[in-house]
This record gives sequence, C-alpha cells and structure tokens, in this order.
Amino acid sequence: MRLVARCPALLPLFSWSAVLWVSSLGVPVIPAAGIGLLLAAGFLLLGSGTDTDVAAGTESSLESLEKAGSGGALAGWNGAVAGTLFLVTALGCIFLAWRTATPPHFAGGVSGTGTVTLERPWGRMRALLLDLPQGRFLLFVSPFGGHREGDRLSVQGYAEPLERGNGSLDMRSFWWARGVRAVLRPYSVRDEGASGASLAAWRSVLRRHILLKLPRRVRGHLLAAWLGGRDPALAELHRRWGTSHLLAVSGFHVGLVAALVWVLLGKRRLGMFLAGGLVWGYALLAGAGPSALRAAAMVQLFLTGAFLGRKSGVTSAVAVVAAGLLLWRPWWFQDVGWRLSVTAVLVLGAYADLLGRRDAGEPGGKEESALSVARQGISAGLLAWVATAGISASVFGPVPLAGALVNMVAIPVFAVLLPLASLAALPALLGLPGGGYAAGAMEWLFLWWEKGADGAATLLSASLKWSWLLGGGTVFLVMALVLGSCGIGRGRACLISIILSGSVMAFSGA
Amino acid sequence: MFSPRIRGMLVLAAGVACLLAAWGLVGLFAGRWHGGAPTTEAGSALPFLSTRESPEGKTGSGSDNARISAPSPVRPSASVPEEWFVYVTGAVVRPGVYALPSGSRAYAALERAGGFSGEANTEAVNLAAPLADGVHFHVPRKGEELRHGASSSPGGGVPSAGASAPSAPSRPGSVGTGGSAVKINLNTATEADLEKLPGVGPKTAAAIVADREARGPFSRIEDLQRVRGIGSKKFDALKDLVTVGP
Repeated sequence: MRLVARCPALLPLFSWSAVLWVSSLGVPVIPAAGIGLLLAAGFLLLGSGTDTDVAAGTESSLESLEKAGSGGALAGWNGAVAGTLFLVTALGCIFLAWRTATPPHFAGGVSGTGTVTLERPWGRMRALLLDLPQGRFLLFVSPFGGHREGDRLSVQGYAEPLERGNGSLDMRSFWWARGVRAVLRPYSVRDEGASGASLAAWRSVLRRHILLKLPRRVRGHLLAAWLGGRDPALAELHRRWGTSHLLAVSGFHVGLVAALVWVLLGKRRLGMFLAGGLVWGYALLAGAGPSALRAAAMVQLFLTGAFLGRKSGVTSAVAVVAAGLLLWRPWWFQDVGWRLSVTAVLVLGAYADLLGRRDAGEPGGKEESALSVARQGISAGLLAWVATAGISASVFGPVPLAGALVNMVAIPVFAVLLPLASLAALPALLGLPGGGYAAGAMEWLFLWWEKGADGAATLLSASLKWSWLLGGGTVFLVMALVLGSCGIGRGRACLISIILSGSVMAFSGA
Repeated sequence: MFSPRIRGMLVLAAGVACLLAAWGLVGLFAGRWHGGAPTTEAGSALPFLSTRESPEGKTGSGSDNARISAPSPVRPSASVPEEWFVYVTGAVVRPGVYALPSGSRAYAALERAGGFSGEANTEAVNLAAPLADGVHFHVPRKGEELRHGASSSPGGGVPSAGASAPSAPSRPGSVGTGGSAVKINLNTATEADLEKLPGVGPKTAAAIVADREARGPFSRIEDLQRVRGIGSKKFDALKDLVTVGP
C-alpha cells in the first residue's frame, strides 16, 4: 500500500484527471466514470507492491505500524483505508463525469447593474466579465469602449450559452473555468462609473499607475507579476526565450511572496498568519487564475502544517490541492496554465522527495556542498522544462530549446529581479520625487537580462515540435518520477507509466 | 490459498487488466459524445467563403484553413428553425457569405467575419441591428462615405448605417433604423423575438402573441399592460425596447 501510505491524494488526482481528459475526448458520462474507477482500481492494485525501498526515517506512520504492528489487524486497517480512499475516488469520478455533462447553462433576458471583474483582449475585441445579480456574464465589446475593471455597468440584454468557437481551443472551458454562466448580448450598456473599493477597482487603479509611470520593461514585468496582465511585446520575447511561465502568475510568484514574508517575520505565529493572508491577497490581486489559486492553497497547506508542527511533502500537497480544486472547478483541467503548473510542481515535488529520501538514507544525513545544491537546482529546472515541453508544444507550437538553457539562469535571476523591481517601482508609483531613478535602474537591469537571454536564444535557435513521441515521453517521465517518489518499485512504476503514456499517444488526436 | 508470490502476480495482473480495460473503454467510446450546453451555433458556413472573397485573409489568424476544413463538432440546436445567409463586406477580417441562425443580429455576422479589421469605422455600424436572410452587411472603413445611407434602407429590419439590403425583404418582427437601440415591433414580432426582451420568458411571450391574436394589434405601447403577467414594473423595463407598427 505504498501509494496509499505515502501520497493518498494522488489516487483521486490521477483518476479525476482521467475522467476530465476522456470527457474532453468525447467519452459519454457513464463510460467516463467507469474509466476513472478502473484507473483507481488499477493504481490501488499496482501501488500495493512489496518493494522494500523505504529508507530509514522517511516512512509514514502507517508504514511504521506495518513494521511494528500485528499482521491481521494491520492488514484490516490497510484495507479499510484503501477502501475508503477508493470510495471517495469513485464518488468523485461520478460527480465529475456528471459535472462535465451538465455545464453552466443560461439563456434569456438579463438586466441589472454589476461590476466588471475582468477585462482582457480577445482577438480584435475586448472581453469583460460582469458580475450581475443573476451570475457572472461574458461580454464582448469594442476595444474603444473604454470599460475598465471595477466599472459599474447597467445593462439590458439577452444571454446565450457559450459557444465552443472555431479555433483549436474550446472557448467554453476557458470561460466556465472563470465562473461564466453565459455570453451577454446587450441591447444597452450604461457606464455608472467606478465601483469604489472593490478589488477590481484597485486592480484598475494600479494598472493605470503602472502603465503611466514606469518604463517599458519594468512596466511589462510588473503588470504580469502584480496583476496577471500580458504585455504583447514582452510576451513575444519570453516566448522566444522559452520563459513564458515567468509572465504567468503561478507557484513561482506566490512562493516568492510567501518566502519574503516568512524571511521578514520569521517562523512566528504572526508571520504564518500574515504570510497566509498576504499570499491569498496577492493571488486575488493577480487575477485569481487557476495557477495562482492552486499555489496559494499549497502555501496555505504548508503554513498550516508548520503551525501544527507537521511537515508536508510537496507531492502530497499538490495532489491534495489540485484534486480539491478540480472538484470545485472541473474546467480548470482544460486550462493550459493549470496543466503546466501542476505538472511542473508534481515533477519538482517528486524530485525533491526522492532527493530527501536518498539523503535521509545516508548515515547521519548528508551534508550538501554548494556544487551539489547547484547541480540539483539545474537538474530540477531541466526536469520541469522537459516534463512541460509536451503540453507547451501541443498548445503553443514549437518550444525553443533555448528555454532549457535560459531557464537554468532565469528562475534564480527573476527570483531576485522581480522583488527588486517591485520595491524599486514603489517611489515612482507613489509619485515621490526622484522615484523615476530607481525604476530607471531596474529598467537597465532588465535590459541586460534581455541581451543575455537574446544571446542564448540566438546560440540555440532550434526548437522542439509536438510529436506523439514527445507527448508520450513526457507523460512517461512525469508518471515514473511521481510514482517512484511514492515508493512504488521501478518495475511497476515503469509498467504503469508505459500504459498511461501509450494511451496518451493513442488518443490525444481523437 | 495462494502463496505470496502467486498472490503478488495475481494482483499485478489484475492491476494491469484494470488499466488496459480503461484504455479499451476510451477507444470504444471516444468521440461518441459532444459535450457542453446546447448552443445556437448553426454549424459550418464555410463552404460559402471562398478565398477569392477574402482579400484580407492574410491578416487574420493563421487558422483560416483549419476553419474551412474542420467544421465545428457542435451540432446545431434543435430549436434553431432555419439559417439565414448574410454577405459581409468591408473592414472586417474575413469578408464572405455566412450562414447564421435566423433571428441573428449584426454582431453575430461580424463575429463570424472575424471582427473589425484595424481600419473599420466602428462608430458607423449598429451592431444590435437585426439581420434578415440575404442581406448585405457592409462595414465602412474610416473616412469611407457610406454607400447606402439610412434612407436607402427602407426595410427597417436591416442594419442601418453601414449596412444595406437592396434586394432583401425586411425582417418582419422589427422596426427602427439608425438608432442605438433596436425596438421590437409588438404587432409583428414572433415569440422568439419577444423572448429576447429582458424579463420576458416563453410564457409571457406566448401571452403577448395570444393577446394580439385575440384582441387585434396593439395601437400604443401602453396596451402591453393589458397582457397577463405584465405589470407596471415590467412595462417600465420594456417600454423603451418595444414599438407598435402596422
């Protein structure tokens, strides 16, 4: 029962993800739920190996019991835990299959006054999310409309169900994941002015100040890091360097905020509470995207664990949070940012767990040299890049190989640059005299980064195109690493990974 | 009953069988269900969009070919009775002939044509204007003189500024030209038209039509209050959106 003992939440996460994936392939409700159940059963059976690779000091309480306990009673306990987990997973599979078959649906007349909670470009139009008493609606308006986040709009119109759209991406999942009920076709729209103290209004004010008062590079990076916005020119540069993930608010940004608060306030209770509050506040300010909320929930889990004196494994934490959030918003599974961030964190967590177990197995622990830490950091960055290359290539097109090189440096560099830029921008944003100098200095640093990254991208201009082999290979890597970190023997981990990667290779074009 | 080794082998075999069975189910059922809520999408209009009619296609997204060759998997809603064919020209991304659900308005045609191109005179187009089968919807460029003014659109049911329907019949359910709001004609509107009004559901729409058939045409807007289910509050919400006509 290695899987159940080490990381029980992986069972529902994998099974529920499978249900959502096969639903997107057009598998009807009952077979989709059945597929989830079969996968859960398969994982439970194959995860009940008897490999003896558990290192001293890292086993779970259940495994300690297993060693010390009396056979019959323990077997019964194991069975009860596994049975409960299977039951929860099965109920979740049925629930998710049903949710995907009954998405939000609304049609009819709509009138009322609401607040614009999101405004973003959408092709040649602008998309607005409007929170009305009847729910959240999507409006497409002219780019010259002038409506901003935080504006109160009084509308009368007719709501229609979301349409799939003609592109390769299903527009409905994207908007359902953001709580949209329907598209609103307005007969009339009247702007009632800013809503005052809402979060959306604050976002709007901050955006205006960033746009007006900061130089180009600092502006683009802070728009992304603070508000989840996207500067098209900067996005194109990062795409070329293979570092687009730095512009999407995810675990990296949320982790930076938590780490800064933690460092400033120490491991006191006040620090934990404040870190939790600030992390959630930041995730909401940055647009409450799936990746940001997932990361905030993970940080909260770690903080709660630390508060209670219990250490949480990264793999376990991401599995618990991701599974829970999928139950809340199943359509997040179709969100590319969500998939990329969950995959990257799963791989990094599994790698960290494997390293931790190996080091704990050394007598008296293991002293890490600076070289060893650097090597592990580079390996982790490469693993995350390879693991997400399949998803990126299938959605965004060829992935520049330079990304593997640039990311080794980009993550530590941006871990310093982004907090520094945030600090340096404050005087200019507050309108303090001389504030422009600090922002100008940061602009200069970003310029040097740009030159370095451009050089690396020029040196290594080849790119990786999507292929069945790439898709299957990355699934194999992720599964083998994650299952291996859960203590499942290499043979069984490889067997499961081969079957699952084979299914991805066979059906991703369906 | 079994030795631990055999038991281990059986568990392994059962686990693999479960995964393979799941794989088999995916193969068996994939593509059998088109998920999602009912949609008003009318299906592919692309056979009517020739490349010759798309001089600005190069500036559009790179998925034009995909759009032509890959009809949307979403089936037309059963409630959509028929299609209207609309010719879209001018400052749009992909001019051409498009099939739209009957009852569509100008914004739907614009969306099908990929939206405004950069040089469109967006103020000159009434996106809420109702369309009709066979109309020519033209989006003028900035500085372009309107080829068909409002006066040349006698059928009030066609898009007003920037759109014309020289040979198309007007849409029976609507009147009003050029204004920012398009009013529903209570004397000619169908139940489907009336349901698009805020606060008017299928029941109220049916009551309006039934009242009209029983008592004759509405002579003034206020007559709407004689319909069961429409009180003064609802009337206030509707009075600016409806009109009465022959």
